[in-house]
Amino acid sequence: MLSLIAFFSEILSIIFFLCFLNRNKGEGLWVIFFYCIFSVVTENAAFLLRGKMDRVYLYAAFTICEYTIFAYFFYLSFKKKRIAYVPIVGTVIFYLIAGIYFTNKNSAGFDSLTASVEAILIIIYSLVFLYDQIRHTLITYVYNTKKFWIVIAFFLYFSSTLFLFLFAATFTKQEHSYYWVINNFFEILKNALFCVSFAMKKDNNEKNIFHSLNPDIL
Amino acid sequence: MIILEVANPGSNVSLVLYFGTIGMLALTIGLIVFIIFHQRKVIRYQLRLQRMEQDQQKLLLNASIRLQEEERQRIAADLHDDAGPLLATARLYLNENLVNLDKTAQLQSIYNAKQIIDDTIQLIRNISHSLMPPTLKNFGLESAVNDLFQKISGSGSMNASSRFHDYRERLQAENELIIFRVIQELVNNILKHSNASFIHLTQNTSGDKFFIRLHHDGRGITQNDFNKLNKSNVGLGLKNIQSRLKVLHGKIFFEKDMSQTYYKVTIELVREEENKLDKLTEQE
Repeated sequence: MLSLIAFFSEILSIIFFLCFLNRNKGEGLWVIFFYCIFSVVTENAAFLLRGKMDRVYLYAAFTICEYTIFAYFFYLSFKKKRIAYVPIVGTVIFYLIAGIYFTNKNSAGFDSLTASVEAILIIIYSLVFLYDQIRHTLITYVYNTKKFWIVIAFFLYFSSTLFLFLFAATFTKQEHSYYWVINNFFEILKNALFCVSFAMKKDNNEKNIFHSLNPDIL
Repeated sequence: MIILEVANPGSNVSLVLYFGTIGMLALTIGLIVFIIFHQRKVIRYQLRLQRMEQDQQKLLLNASIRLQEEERQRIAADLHDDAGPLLATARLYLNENLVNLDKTAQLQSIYNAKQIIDDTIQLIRNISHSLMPPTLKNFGLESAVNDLFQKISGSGSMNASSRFHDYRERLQAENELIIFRVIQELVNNILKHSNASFIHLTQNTSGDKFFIRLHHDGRGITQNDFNKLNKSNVGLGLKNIQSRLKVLHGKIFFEKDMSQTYYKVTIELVREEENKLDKLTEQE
């Protein structure tokens, strides 16, 4: 049931993006929109391939693509060149680990290592993003920006599922279905936050909040 | 999670998973809340600072407008009360000249009219000099300040001296005028309020910085008093000093001498800043 809601929440975020298309132009949010579509397509493909083949490789490929999309979003979001190097370096590390993991992989289980590394890297990027935001507090209230809610969605989702991904490879089928509730729940939350971000009005305030002050003497 | 725990008892993995997830979630939420509140706090603080600065600017602006008005009123009063009656009297003498046919009386009235016109010329010259001292315009800040201090000393009420150590290169005329006005205001305050027996002014430079220091042995103010007066509605002259120095990006410091006997006022300017301002003015 929860997995079904999670699936519909993904579709809902696509609908929200399309409904508020004008508000989401020029903010790099198309990357997230692309991710939502990609996610829905993968879910459908996994459903269609059920019983026909091992879907582990599909999920492993999804993890790599998901990471790439998120890293690209962060790369677009960091305005300072020095900080923009963080996702680039992280991506190199991630691809190296993923490469080594898949070449040495014997059994076809859950790709715990890549999923966990992905979660850790995205958490780091989120922290860097938030740190960057509070360092430049003069710009605007952080929660008035669309990107903030997207990053919060990543941050909450990956920090809540990090331990789940760490242990996922050791789960039995029964355990997997027990614990996957966590993933589904936080996926719904993540998509809900995406919807919040997509529905938010474009932040015209972003230039400077001090414009609200009476400039009559300036 | 608790439901999961109950459904799958005795598993170590579930415990780690349970505490790990809860811990991470708590940390994340805590961090997000902290960031939001911290940012709100910082922004509120910045807004308060900005408002204070605006209020301060408003005060300075009001002070300079009031001073300008006072100056206009003074000039208007000088012209109306002194120059006006003098010229009217001269006119009367000349009128009398037209009706009076007696040569001696005519000569006397012409002489009287000439005397009055001379007085009026002197009066207008004085007004003009108070607006823009000719010494400052022609010979620069050093001469104008020396002239001012000689006049004060000459009055016998106070011993005033000035010394320029390094003023080979003159500042821009407008900037010299601003500094001269600041010195005038400071000296005026010392004369009015301090009850000092001497004032000594020195000028020197250090690197790209230009300093003017004033010492006196009367009652003075410290930097704290200056800041307080600047924020209050009184101390119009001090606000005028502040707004004038703001134009030059200069600073002023009020302090008591180490020996606690003298008060010291230091005006600090950056010569490079002055050059930048000049370039900007030229561009405009």
